Amino acid sequence: MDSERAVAVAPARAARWVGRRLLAPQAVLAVLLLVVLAYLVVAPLFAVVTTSLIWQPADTRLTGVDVEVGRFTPYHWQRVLASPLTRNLIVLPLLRTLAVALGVMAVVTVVGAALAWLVVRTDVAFKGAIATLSVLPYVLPSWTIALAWLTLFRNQGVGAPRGFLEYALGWQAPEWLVYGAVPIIIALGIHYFPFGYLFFAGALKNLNTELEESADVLGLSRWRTLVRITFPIIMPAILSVLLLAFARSIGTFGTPAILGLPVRYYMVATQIYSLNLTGREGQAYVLALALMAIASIGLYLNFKVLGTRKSFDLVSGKGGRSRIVKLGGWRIPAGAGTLLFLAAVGLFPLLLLVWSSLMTNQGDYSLANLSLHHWIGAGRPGINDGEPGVLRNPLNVIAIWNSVRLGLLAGFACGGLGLLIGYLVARMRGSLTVRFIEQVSFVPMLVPSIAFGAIYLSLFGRGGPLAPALYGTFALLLLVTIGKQLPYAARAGISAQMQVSKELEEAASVLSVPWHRRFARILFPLTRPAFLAGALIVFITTMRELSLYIMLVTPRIRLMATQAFWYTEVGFRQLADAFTVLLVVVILVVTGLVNLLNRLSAGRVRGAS
Amino acid sequence: MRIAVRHLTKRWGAVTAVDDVTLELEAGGFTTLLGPSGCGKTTMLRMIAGLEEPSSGEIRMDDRLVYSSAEMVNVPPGRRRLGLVFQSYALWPHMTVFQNVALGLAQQGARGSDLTRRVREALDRVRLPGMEERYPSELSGGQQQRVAIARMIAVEPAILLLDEPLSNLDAKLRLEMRAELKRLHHDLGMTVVYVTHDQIEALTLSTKIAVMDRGRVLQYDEPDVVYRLPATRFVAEFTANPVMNFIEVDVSGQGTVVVPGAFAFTVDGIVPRPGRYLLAVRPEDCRVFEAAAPRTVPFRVYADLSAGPDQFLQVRSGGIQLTVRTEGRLRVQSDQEVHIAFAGGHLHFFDPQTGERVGAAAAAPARPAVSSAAAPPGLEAGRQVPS
Repeated sequence: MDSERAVAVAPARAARWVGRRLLAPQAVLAVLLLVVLAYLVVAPLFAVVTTSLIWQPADTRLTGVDVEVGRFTPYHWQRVLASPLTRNLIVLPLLRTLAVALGVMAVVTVVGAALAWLVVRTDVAFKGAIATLSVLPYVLPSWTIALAWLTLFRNQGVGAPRGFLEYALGWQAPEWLVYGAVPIIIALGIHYFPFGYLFFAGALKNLNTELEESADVLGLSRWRTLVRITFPIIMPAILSVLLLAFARSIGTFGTPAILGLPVRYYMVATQIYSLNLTGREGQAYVLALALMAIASIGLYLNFKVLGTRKSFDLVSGKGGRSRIVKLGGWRIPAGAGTLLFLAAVGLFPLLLLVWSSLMTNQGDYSLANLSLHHWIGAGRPGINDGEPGVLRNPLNVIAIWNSVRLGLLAGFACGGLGLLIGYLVARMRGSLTVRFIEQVSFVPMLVPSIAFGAIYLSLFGRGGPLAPALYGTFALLLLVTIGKQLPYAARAGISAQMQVSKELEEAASVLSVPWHRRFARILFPLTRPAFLAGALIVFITTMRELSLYIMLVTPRIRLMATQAFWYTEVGFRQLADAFTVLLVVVILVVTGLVNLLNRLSAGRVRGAS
Repeated sequence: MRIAVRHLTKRWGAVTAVDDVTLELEAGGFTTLLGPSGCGKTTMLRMIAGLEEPSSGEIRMDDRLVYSSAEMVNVPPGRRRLGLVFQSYALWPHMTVFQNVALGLAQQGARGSDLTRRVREALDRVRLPGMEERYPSELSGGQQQRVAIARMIAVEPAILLLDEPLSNLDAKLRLEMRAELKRLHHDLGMTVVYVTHDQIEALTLSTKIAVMDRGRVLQYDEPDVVYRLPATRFVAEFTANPVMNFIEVDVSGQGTVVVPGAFAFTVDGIVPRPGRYLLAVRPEDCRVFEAAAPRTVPFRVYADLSAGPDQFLQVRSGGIQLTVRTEGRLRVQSDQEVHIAFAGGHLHFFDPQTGERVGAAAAAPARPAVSSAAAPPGLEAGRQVPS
C-alpha cells in the first residue's frame, strides 16, 4: 500500500519526504556513532576471537605441528585449556588474580567505609584534611605505590639492592613481604580505596537519616540499626565499590609486574604480556578472553543483585541532617591517627620516590649520596649504564609530549563523543538503535585494560581488510584510549544531556534555528561543564594508564607511563622514580591549567532551571 | 490563520494518544484544547507545531498543506510560521533575556539596531521593559513566562501555541496573566491555540473550547455552550466548577424523576424517554432554603465548606450526597435540615452506558417523595431555559 501511495505522489516530494527522515540530524548522528562504535568496540572484539583461532606468523617457529599462517586452528585454545602447560599458563595465574582481587576488594571496602564513616558520620578532628588526603592515592599512578614499596622493603636477602628499611634498620624483610600476593594486594588496595571512600561517603551523605531514626524510635540498638537498616540501604554502593575494585584489579598490569615478575609470580595480566612478548599471541588472546569472561560474570552478578534491589533508590532521596557520632576524647587521637595513616599511604610513597630519585647510587640513603644526577646529569659510566638524567634524554621529551597530547586529544574526543551519545540517548529514548548504541558504548568497561590493549593489537597489529596497520603509530594509542574511556565519557554525557530539557531545543527549532546552531548555541553551552569535567578525567586517567598501552608502544612511540615502566624493567630505579615524580607533576600542572582556563572563560552561566 | 486538522492520529506502539481528530480552528480565534493529563491535548499541539510527527491524517494552515501522510508532506516546525510557549517556559538559562528574544529574530536576518528595536518592542508588549540584561534565573516565574511569550511573538508568527503556560504560576499571578493573554490576543490578532486542564482558564480565555478525553474530541463549542450544554457526562464533569453532582435516576412516563430510595420530582418540557439515566446538576443550580417550602426536598447538612464569599454545602438524603452553592451566606450547622430545590432548565441527563447527553429538561414541581407541594415563588426568576 505504501508503494502505491508513493507512486501517486510526485517523485520529488516523495524524495524529500524520505530524505528528510534519513538526513534528520538525529538519524545522521545515530549512523555516525554506529560506525564509530563498530570500529572501536565491535570490530576489535570480533578480531580477538578470530585471531585466537588462526595460526599467527610467529607460530612458524613451532616444531611438531603443521603451521599454515592464516588458517583455522584450535591449537591456541588447546594449549591454554588442555595441555600439560595449562596449570602454569592459566590455572595458577587465574587463581592468583582472583585471590588478589578478593584481597583488594576487602581492603577497599574496609578502609573506604571506615574513612567515609569518620568523615560523614563523626565529629572527628581534621575532617577537611582527611577528606582531601583520602583521594590522593588514586591521583598517583597505580604503580607509584609499588615502586615505593620496593624502595622501602627490598633487600639483599631477596637479591635486590638495599631498600630503605635495610639501610636504616638493618632489617631484611622476608620475600613474601617484598614480592608476591601480599604486597600486590596492599599496593592495589591503597590505590583503589579512594573509590570506596568516595562511594560510601556519597551514599552516607544522601542516606535519609529519618530511616535510621525510625529504627531508633522503635528501640533498636545502634548495632542492629546498622545491620538491619543502614547496611541494606547502602548495599548498592557497596556492590558498586566491590565491582569496581574487582574489575580494575584483575586488568591492571603495572603493580603485578613490578611486585610479581621478579619472583615469577604471574597473574593473568602479566601472563598475557609475557605470552605476547614471546610471540605466543594466540595464547595471549585466549587469556584476554578469559579475563573478559570473568569481568562479565562479575558485572552480571552486580546487575542481578542490584536489579532485585531497585527499591533502594530512596537512598538518593533528600539528604537530611546526618546523625553525627560524638567521638568525645577520641576526636583528636582518631583524627591524627587517620591523617598519619593517609600520609603514610599517600604522601610518604611520593616523598620516598623523590628521595630515591635524588640518590646518585642505589641503596645509599646518606645525605652525601643525594644529587640531581638522575634528573639533569649527563650519563656517567658506572651509574645505570651511563644513562643520562630524565630531563637530559630527548626521548623523554617526546614521551612527555606524546602523553600530554594523547591525554588532551582523547579527553576532548571522548568528551565530545560522550555528549553526542548522551544527546541521542536523551532525545530518542526507547529507539532500538539508540539502545544498541548505549549498550555497546558500555562494553569496554567489561574489558580489563590489558585485554583491551591486546584486542587492539590483534586488530591493528598487522592490518587487514577491516583496519589499517597502525602498530607503532600515535593514532593507535589514540584509538585505544578513546575506545577504553568511552563508557565513562558516555555515562557523563548521558547524565548531562538528560538534565537539558528537550523543550530548550524545541523552542529553538520552532524559531527555525538549524540543528548545528542549536547544538552550538544551546546544547553545548549548557553541557560544557560536564564536557570539560569528562575530558579532564579522561586526561588524568590516560596520563597514568600503563596496562592499556604496555603492549602497544614501540621505541618510537613512547608514553611517560611506559617509559617509567621501561626504566623499572631495565633496573634504572632512580630514573624510574624520577620519571614517575615528573609524571605526577605534569598531571597536576595540566589539570591546574585546564581548571584555570575554564574559570577564566566561563561566563555568567546559570544553572538550567 | 485558519488551522484545519483532518483525521489526525498519533500512535505510540499500542497506545493511541490522538485518535482520528478532525477540527477546524478559526483564523484569529482563541481555541483551547481542554482535558485531563494524558488526553492527547499536548500531543495535538505538538503535532500542529511540527515537533511530533502524526501517524496519519493531515494538517492545513489556511490553504497550505503542512502535514499529510498521504501526500507525503511534512513542513518542519521552523517553517510553519508559528510560536510555541512551553509549560516549562524553556528559556535558555545561559542567555540573557535580550539574547533569548534575539535568537529567533537573528535567525530571520534581523541585525543591529533593527534587532535591538524589535527585541525592545516584544519585551514592551509583554510589559517587561528594562530586563534585557537579566538571566532567566534572576527573574520570577511570572517574568520568565513573559520572556517566553516575548521570545515567540517577537518573530511575529501567524499562530501562537501555548502549552499550559499558567500552570506553574501561583493563583494571583495566574489571574493577572489571564488578563494579559486575553489582551495580547486582542492586540495582535493572532490565531491562538491554548492547552490547559484548567476549566476556568478555558472558559475565561477561549473563543472556542475543544474538550478532549482519551485522544478524542468530545465537544467543540463556544465556552458558554460547553458549560450550559455539556455533550457528555465527561464534559459535564470536567467543566464542573468546582464539582458536578451526579445522581442515578429513573424517569417515568409522566416526566417524573425518581431517585430510588430517596426522593422524586417532576420535570416540565423535554423529558427523556422513560428509563434509567445519569442526572447531572451543578452546585449553583441547586437552591437552598432554610425552611421547608413547596417543591423542595429535605436534606441534612453534612459539612459547611465556606471560604470568603463562597459557601458550598455538602448535603445528604437517603444515601445521596450533593454539593450545593448558596446564594448569600446561610448560617447552618452540621446535621441541620435544609431544603433543596433544583433550578429549572439546568438538569443534564446522560445515558448511563455511553455517557452521551439525552436532552435537558426544566425541573418543574420537584416534590419530595414524602410530600407534594407547590413551588416556592420566584424560583424560576432569572433562569433561562436553554435553547
